[in-house]
Parts: sequence; structure tokens; C-alpha cells
Amino acid sequence: MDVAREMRDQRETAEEMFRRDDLRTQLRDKLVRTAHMSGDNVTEEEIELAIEQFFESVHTYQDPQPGMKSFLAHCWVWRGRLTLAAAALTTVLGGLWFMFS
Amino acid sequence: MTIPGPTVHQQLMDAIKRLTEQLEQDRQGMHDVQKEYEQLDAERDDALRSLAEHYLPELTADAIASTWREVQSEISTLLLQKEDEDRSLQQELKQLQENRTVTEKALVEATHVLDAAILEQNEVSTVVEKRLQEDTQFVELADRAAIAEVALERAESNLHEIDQDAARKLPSYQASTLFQYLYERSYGTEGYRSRGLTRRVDRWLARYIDFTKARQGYDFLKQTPDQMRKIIAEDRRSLNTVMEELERKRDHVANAMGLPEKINLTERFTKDRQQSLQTANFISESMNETESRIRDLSDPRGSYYQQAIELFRQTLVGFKSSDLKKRAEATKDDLTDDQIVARLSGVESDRGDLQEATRDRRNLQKQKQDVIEELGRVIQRFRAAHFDSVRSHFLDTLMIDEEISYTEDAGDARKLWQKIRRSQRWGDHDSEEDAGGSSLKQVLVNAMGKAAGDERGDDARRAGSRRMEYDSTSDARSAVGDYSADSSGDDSR
Repeated sequence: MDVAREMRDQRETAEEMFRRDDLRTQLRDKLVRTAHMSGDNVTEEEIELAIEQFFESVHTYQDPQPGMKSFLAHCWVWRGRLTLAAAALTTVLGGLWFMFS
Repeated sequence: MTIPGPTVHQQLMDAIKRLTEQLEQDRQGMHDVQKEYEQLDAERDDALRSLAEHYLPELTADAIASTWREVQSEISTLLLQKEDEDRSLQQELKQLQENRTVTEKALVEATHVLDAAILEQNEVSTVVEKRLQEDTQFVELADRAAIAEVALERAESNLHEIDQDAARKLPSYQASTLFQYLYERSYGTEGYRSRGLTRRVDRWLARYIDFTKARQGYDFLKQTPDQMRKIIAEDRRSLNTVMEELERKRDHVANAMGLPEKINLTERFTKDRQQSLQTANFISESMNETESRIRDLSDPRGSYYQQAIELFRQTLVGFKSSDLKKRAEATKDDLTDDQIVARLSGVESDRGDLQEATRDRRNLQKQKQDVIEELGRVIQRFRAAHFDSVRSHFLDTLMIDEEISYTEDAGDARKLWQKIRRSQRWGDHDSEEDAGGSSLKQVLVNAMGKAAGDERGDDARRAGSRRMEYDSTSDARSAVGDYSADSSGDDSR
């Protein structure tokens, strides 16, 4: 049932995307209407630019800015590798200490 | 005041370098001479051609009869060949004209037949279209197909946009270590199995990068284009089904009206007409070529005339200028040939002058080459005698550059060596012995110098040196061209 629901959802999303040009038109009308109501004097080019920017920003992803949180997050993701590296280093140092002490 | 040995050595090296460069430049200049030869040859050919054209102004029987006897038979043969070709081309042209008439007639007929067939086909097509328009089911299917086509075009355009969107935005998801970590662990789905601390930290991480929203965007960009492609493929299949039905209906009506036969007939007639057209064009081109050739033959200065002139020119090449002059003088009323022969004589005279100048130039180059070689040997001897040493000095009367400027041949270069040797002096006695291998002759020179005292010391040394020179000269005489002779003389140091 879940698979069927998932497939239906995907199809609906896809069909929605077939109306992407409609969405663009609706968005333009809405922007023009809002501009008229607020008394802003906007040109066609400005509206087109705003729509372009909207479509450019939707469904995008960016990692958070670098900082302590980001560092900790990466340490967590790489915890396996970090543990292995620490173990290897300890083994080497222990071996050296054993040999030369 | 004396000149140090290394300075003289350097002067000699510079001189040989300068002479070599001069020789090289001179040799390069010989290319220009070659061009001058070519130009003179071309002028000579041109003069001979003018003379040939003067003696044979056109290729006619009368002109041949009044030209030189030496070329009459060969040029007459050319005239006969020309007349033969003319006759054969006239026949060919006649045949082509007949063929063109026939082909043009066939083309007109083929055009008429084709026009009639197209007209008939159009009439039947109109009837078929009318019947199909009257069929309500056909009209409905056609409307559906039109709507589906518009929808498909729109869908394809949107798909293209989404594809570009995905290509632009997906790399940032794929490059993110944090996002990929949670995505690979299926966080937020039923597949996620971690418990305890791991689950709690993963939840913190998901909140930190806003994973739920990011995952939606990623899934959308990953899956939507494929899903859209599937839907478009399904819609196209449906449209094809409608089109097949429409075609079936059209074929049914068209077959009932006999339209396919009419179309086949039109295609066949079109092909026939095309073939006739190609044949007509080919004949037309052949006629143009033949007419052009006939025009050339009818021109008294056409291609055959050019052949005759070339033949005449080759004959004239075998004559001397003096003979040509005599012949020209024989035609007293005609001055043109005298002028041409005079031009020819001028060119030949220029060519002779150029040959002489070239010969002189080559001799000069040979002399220079000999001087360079001899100078090379002088430098070899100079080095072998250790004259390039800092202990070696030369009288300031020795001026290498001046000597070189007066050197014209190998003999002068050989004399230069004698002058160099006469001007050479060693710095002091001890070092001479050290370097010179303690020659008895040198001991004599030094002893004579010291014994004579301060006043006559130099004279005594010169007397001893003269003796040494005499010895080395006699050695050199005994072995001419053998440098070991010189080196034996040098050992006397």
C-alpha cells in the first residue's frame, strides 16, 4: 500500500511539474497584482527577475557555515575513521615506547 | 710597448669569424643571381615568342606560306589537324542538336502527363479529405490528437527545464558529507535502525542541516525528471494509438477512392520527367562545350595557333642571335623584327655579362675560402707554438686587422704567419725554458743576449732569433705544406 501511495505521490508531483509554466504565469500575475495594490512601480523585467530568482532558490541545498557546530557534526560523521586513526596512532606510539623504554 | 699573445690570438679568431660571415653572406647573395638568370631567360623566351608571332601572325594557309621554310611543314600539319577537328566537331554539334530536339519534345510530353496525373490525384485527395471531414468519429479523434500533441510539446518543454534544474542543483547535495551521511543511513524513513545515543545525535544533526526539507528537495530533483519521462512516454503511446486509428480510417476511404494508385502513378511520372530533364541538361552542356571548342578553332589565334607559335619558338631557340639578325636585316621593309632581334641581343648580352660576373664572384669566393682555410692553419700553428700564452708578446708593429685587410689570397695568409713569428717575443728566460722544453737554440739566444750586455743585448737576441728563423724556414722548405715543419721550428723556442 505504501509503495502504491509513494508511486501515486510521485506521479502527482510529476504531473504538477508539467504545469510549471502555468505556475510561472500565476506567480507573475500575483506579483503584478501585489505591486499594483501596494502602488509599486515595477517593470516587466523586474518581475521576470524575481520569478527567476524564486525558481533558482527552490530545492537548493547548502551546508551550514563553518564553525564549532559544523566541526562537531563532521567529527560525528567521521567518528569511525577518527577512532581507527586514534587506535593506529596509539599502537605505534605504544610500540615505540615498548621498544625504547 | 708590446701586444700580449692572447690579444693577438683573439684578433685572429675575430678575423676568421668576420671572413666566414662575409663569405656566407656572399654565398647567400648567389640566390639573387639565380633569380636574375630566370628573369633573363623569361625575357628571352618572351622575345622569341614575339618574333615567332611576328613571322606567323595567324594560323592560315597564306600566313604559313609566307613564313620561314624551316617550320612550314610542321605548322601545315597543325593546320590540317585543326581543320579535321573542326569538321568532326561540326558533325558532333549537328548530332547533339538533333538529340536535343528529341529530348525537349519528350520532356514537354512528360511534363504534360505529370501535370494531368497531379491534377487527378489532387481531385481524388480533395474528395477523400471531404469524406473524412464528414466522419464525426474521425473529427473527434483528430481533435484529441491535436490536444494531445500540444500537451506533449508543453510537457517536453517543462521536462527540459526540470532536467536543467536538477543538473544545476543536485551536485551540492551530492558533495555534502553531512547530508549524504544521513541519507545513506535512511534517516527519517522506516529503514533507519539506530537507537540510543546515535539516534539522538543523528536527530541533532538532522535538525542542524534541516534534513527533512533537504531530503524532499533531493528526492524531487532525483525522481521527478524520470517520472515525467515515463508519463511523456505513456502519453506518446496513447497519441500513437489515436494516430493509428486516424490512419486506418484514412486508408479505408483512400483505398475505396483509388488514391494510392493515383499517387504511385504521379511518382512514376515525376521520375520519368526528372530523367528527361537530366538528359536535356546533359545534352545542353555538351552542346555548350562543343560550341566553345568550335569558337576556339575558328579563332586564327586560338589554341592551335598557340601550339604553332610554341613550335616556332622552339625552332628559333636553335638559332644564334647573329643568324636571327641577318634574317631580320634581310626583310628591309620590316623594322619590327629588327627591333625584336635587338631586344633579344640585349637580353643575351645581359646574360653574358651576368655569367661573367657570376664567374668572377665564384673565383672571389674560392679565394676567400682559401684565405679562411689558410688563416685556420695559421691559428693552429699559433696555438701549437704556445703563442697564445700570456708569456708570449708581440711587437706593436704587428697589426693583425690591417694585415688581414691586405690579405687577398692564400699566399698572403701564409706570409702573415711569418710576420707573426718575427714579431713574437717571450716574456723572460726562465719561463721560456720551463715552457719551451729547454731548447739549445733558445739557450744560445739567451746567452748571446746576456753576454752582449745591456746596450747590445737586443741586437744579439735578434741575431740568435734570425738564426732560428733560418733553421725553421729551411725545415719548412723540406716539407712544403706539412705543419710538422713549422712545429719543429717552433720547438726552437
